[in-house]
Amino acid sequence: MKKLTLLLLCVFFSTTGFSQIQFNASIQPVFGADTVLMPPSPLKSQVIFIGGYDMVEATAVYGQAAQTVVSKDWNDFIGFTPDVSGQHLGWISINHEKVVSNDNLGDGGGMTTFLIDRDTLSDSIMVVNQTLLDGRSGKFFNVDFVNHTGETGMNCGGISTADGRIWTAEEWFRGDNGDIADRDTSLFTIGTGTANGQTAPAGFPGWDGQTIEKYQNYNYMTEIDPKQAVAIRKQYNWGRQAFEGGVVMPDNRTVYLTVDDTPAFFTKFVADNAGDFTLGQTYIYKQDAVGSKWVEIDNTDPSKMLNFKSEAVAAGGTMFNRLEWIAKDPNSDKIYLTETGRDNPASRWADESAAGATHAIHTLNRASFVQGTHPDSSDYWDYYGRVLQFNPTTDAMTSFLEGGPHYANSPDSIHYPYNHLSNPDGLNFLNVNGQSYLMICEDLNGTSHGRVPAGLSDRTCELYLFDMSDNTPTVSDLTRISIAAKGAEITGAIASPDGKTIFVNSQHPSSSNPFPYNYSLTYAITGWSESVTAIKEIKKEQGDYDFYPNPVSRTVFFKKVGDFAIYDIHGRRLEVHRNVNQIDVAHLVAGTYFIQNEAGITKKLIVQ
Amino acid sequence: MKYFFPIIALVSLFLFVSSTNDLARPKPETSFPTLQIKAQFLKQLTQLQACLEKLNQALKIKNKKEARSIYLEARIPFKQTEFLMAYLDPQLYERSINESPLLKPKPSVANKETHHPEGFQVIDELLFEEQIDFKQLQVLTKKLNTQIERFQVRMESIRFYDALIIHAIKEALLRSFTLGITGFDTPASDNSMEDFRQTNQSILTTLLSYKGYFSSNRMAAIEAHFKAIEYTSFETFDRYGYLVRQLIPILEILEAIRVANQLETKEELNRLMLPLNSTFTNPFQADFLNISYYTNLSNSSINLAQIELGKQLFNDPILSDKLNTSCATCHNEKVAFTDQLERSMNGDKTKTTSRNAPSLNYSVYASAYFYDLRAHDLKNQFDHVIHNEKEFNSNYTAIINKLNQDPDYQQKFKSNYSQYPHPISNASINHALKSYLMSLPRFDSKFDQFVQTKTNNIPSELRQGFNLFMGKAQCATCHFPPTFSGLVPPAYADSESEVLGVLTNEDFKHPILDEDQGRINNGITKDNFDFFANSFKTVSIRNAALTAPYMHNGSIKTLEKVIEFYDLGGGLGMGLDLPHQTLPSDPLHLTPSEKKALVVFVESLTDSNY
Repeated sequence: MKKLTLLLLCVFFSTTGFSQIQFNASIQPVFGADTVLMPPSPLKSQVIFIGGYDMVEATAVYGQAAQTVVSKDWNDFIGFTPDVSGQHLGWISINHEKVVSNDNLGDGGGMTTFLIDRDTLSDSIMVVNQTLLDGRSGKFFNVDFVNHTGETGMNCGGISTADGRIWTAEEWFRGDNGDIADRDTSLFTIGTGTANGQTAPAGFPGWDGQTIEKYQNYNYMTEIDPKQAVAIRKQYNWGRQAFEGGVVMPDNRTVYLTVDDTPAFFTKFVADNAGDFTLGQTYIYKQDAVGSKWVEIDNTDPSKMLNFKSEAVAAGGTMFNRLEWIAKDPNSDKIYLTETGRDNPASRWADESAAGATHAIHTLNRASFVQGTHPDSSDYWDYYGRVLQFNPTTDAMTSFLEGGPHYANSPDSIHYPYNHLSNPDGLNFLNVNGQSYLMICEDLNGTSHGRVPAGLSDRTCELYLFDMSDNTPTVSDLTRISIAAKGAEITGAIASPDGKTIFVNSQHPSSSNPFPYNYSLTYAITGWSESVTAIKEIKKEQGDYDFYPNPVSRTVFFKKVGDFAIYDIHGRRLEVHRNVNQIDVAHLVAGTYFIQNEAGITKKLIVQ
Repeated sequence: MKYFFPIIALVSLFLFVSSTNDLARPKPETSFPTLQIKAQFLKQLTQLQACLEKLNQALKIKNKKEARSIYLEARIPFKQTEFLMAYLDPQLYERSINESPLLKPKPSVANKETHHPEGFQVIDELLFEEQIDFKQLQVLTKKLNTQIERFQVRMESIRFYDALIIHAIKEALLRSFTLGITGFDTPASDNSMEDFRQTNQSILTTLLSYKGYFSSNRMAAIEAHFKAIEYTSFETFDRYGYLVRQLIPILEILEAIRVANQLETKEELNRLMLPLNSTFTNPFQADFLNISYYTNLSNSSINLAQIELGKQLFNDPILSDKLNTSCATCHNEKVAFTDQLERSMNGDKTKTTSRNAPSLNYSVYASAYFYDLRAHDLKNQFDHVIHNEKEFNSNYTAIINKLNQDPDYQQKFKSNYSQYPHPISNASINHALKSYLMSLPRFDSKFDQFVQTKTNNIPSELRQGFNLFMGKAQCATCHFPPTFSGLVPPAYADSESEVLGVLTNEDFKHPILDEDQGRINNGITKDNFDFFANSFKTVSIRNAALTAPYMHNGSIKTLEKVIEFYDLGGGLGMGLDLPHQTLPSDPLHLTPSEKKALVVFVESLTDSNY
């Protein structure tokens, strides 16, 4: 480390404001001089599940025999269930954010689960064969909802608790049976099933025997058993909402729930007994309330639970603009949630506002102080969203990290800022040696206003890491750790409890990408416990480098903004970067390169 | 462990650096042309704002005559600054400065909202109407002025460099050739020749700042070529002569200058795939468009065996459920991949598809596929055909099973796609079909060859036809060169659709509008706008001599009748009630010999293998 620092110190820059820099089309490669190597990257990445390509074991549904079929895709949430026996690493549960009905798999969205191990030598992840109690045998299993709780749909986010319980969020909000016309629309009796013989015995105490319209059996948080790949129960007592995320607190009684809607109401459930979420009280958040910020909605009244949003409006609840994921910092008592934003939300919440629902303080502040308008006015915009912080002790909700920066028109890729955060969606924590890192997944709502560089029609979403020891978060403090394939949303990021591996999904990529990046992928990046330490060490010495390697970034960093050219091993110019202080090199094939700066100084660069 | 792929796009890579500072060498002296160019550019932007302010004053007092004359005055600094404005902020230019005057979906937002166009073209159209809406014009002028003011502030902090100037100029030359001199840019004022002169003057002045820096021979040659342009009139301007005698030679010299001065290509400056090969010197050279951009498959990732396999699949009915329909059933290679039917029929002739089979030779160059633009990439396009009950009525599982039972396919997929976990899969099938489609464009028709060899002496009827196509007949305002499709220059990234008022038959005297609603019903929420009713993709007219009958419904049998259809101003011109027609309804007043010349030109676009 030290030796490298000293060598790099020999080089300095003379920045010339308006100079015209020419880089020769080719240079003479020189291989002399010292080559200082650092240890190889601890990061390894592998694709572990290809949605819509890998086969899954399905149960018998709709009168068809159990069979092996192509899995669903649009991989979204990832749940992790540790194997407490220590025999295996644990079970992975993948949500499919789909709405198409499928007679073989039996539902609109659904989930796939599988068991994984870690190779003791290489630390890499292996998918293990299993035989389930219902006789299914193989690697990947379709979670059976139809025969247990009734169909599911558009499974987006969910809850993955520390002890491995998994809930899936059914975001596909249906207004009537016409919305599910291509499916079974007969009446649904909780605990029994539908009139035409479709059984769903996994009922819900207090609700069993209740008959509802079929569409009303969608849009719950639904608990599943990842080990047997079956659904357990729909959480009727948390209300029927367009759920996205949730977090179960360490007391194993309190659950905070987020809803992907405008307006969204922040919901809390407190169980009577630890670990039993079938009995307890349900609340919505009212930030402007005097005294307790939580207003109870009677969860024993089915009509209130089925019309949860109207109840929340009537109670004057606080409105948010599409709440997505929520996670608790393992090293503090605070929780963090993403408010992904909607470009012009006025028409979505003005009526509710008039009917008594209230705006969050940070929303009112943005509207009046930043934009000189009101959230209910059609010119109010929220292009980028934000990460919110919630303090369960004080019930205070504040903006933690605002997306952006704001652009009226998108700059082109040459003038695009290195970090730009738009529409944060997935959110989770990586915990390494008692230090927390926030993982933020982007899911762009649009491409305007600088969300992607001008001229780029495909959305490129990124996964960022933020070191929680930094007390003044800004977008420029984010470290980009992964970019999804072209057109894809990056989502689901969850770390294994040992902090070694992050599991991530690349959802709905452009189908014109090369294989396998044209499929929804679940991939694992292993080696974090070693790399985050390395990042910190390099960052400490950052000030002294003119440019330096960063073990977890795809990027060469320079001390000052300038012009640089990259040459290949034969000295042929490959790329010219102007007015930059960092260069992304992840697309370069591993090997030796040269970087020349505007002072004509050439340095060797090894990409591995 | 399951699959190990080189995760190129996905994951951070570790990087090592070593220092070899003995490579330091002195750099050439700093040059001043970019400083000069930038200062000039900022000055012209200030002039433009002053003109727009004056225009605003004239609009305020409702002085029509003065407003029009000031407007034309404002076009001078507009055209002077255009090439740099459009290059430095393409989004601003296309959306706020010079947008086409049509309603469109609001771009890049998740919700369905209508976007109302702004900028010079809209002002042009409103200002030259009989009844002038002064208030609306004032709003538009003010908005435009604010945009330019903000842009200027941003520009002050941007550093110009030589490569930027060269690329901006090349793009501008392409813009005036494809959009300027075709009249696309000035829908009402007919100012296109004057605009063209101003643009060229500004480009030349900019280049002349490099006197003493670039080779003097090259500078003199470029100057001579610019001075040789004969700005006659919109009607008489010889577009073909300009193309081969000035435009292409100028582009060649610019490229020579770029190479000689070691200026970087746009590809070197930009990590994204680009639709255009930035080193182009001729809009009709075969690799002018970067085909890999449209398919996202680089040429190096395709081999001949994969193309052959794609061709075999294309011609094999194994893809359909009853083993009687292949892609070639409706897309017969011999007749430019059409079937010469009004509407295609499936293999057992029991069902007719809903539209005419389009030619495939140049179909890859598009941002969306099908006449209603419902598929946004080729894989999605294949999916529609595979699942359509009037076409293959099949699915990938069935196709994969059938291919797996065929030893020939097994062997071919295995040898070509061994890197995939399953060699026969929808991924490899799509790759092979795409590879085959990518092998089809040739750009070697009689007309291409004339332009590629810069032959000035071509048959006079052909020259007249091209000049009409690019001018008076207004064909090129929708069928843009070089694909002569709706792929819009100079970015070549978006495919357009148009509302023409196509009829059910050829009886133009008693017009009956075709019932097909086209784009509005393509199932895409963001296309579900009234102005996309009866809107259809503008397809390439290359090889059109072979692809009769024409239009999305095959309702017109001959090229002569197609030209007559346009000459009459489409459905609206024939008296139909079609307020959203995008084709101007005014008759073109083409003479019989002009119509014949247009046919001769279209017939010269047939690939050499036919």
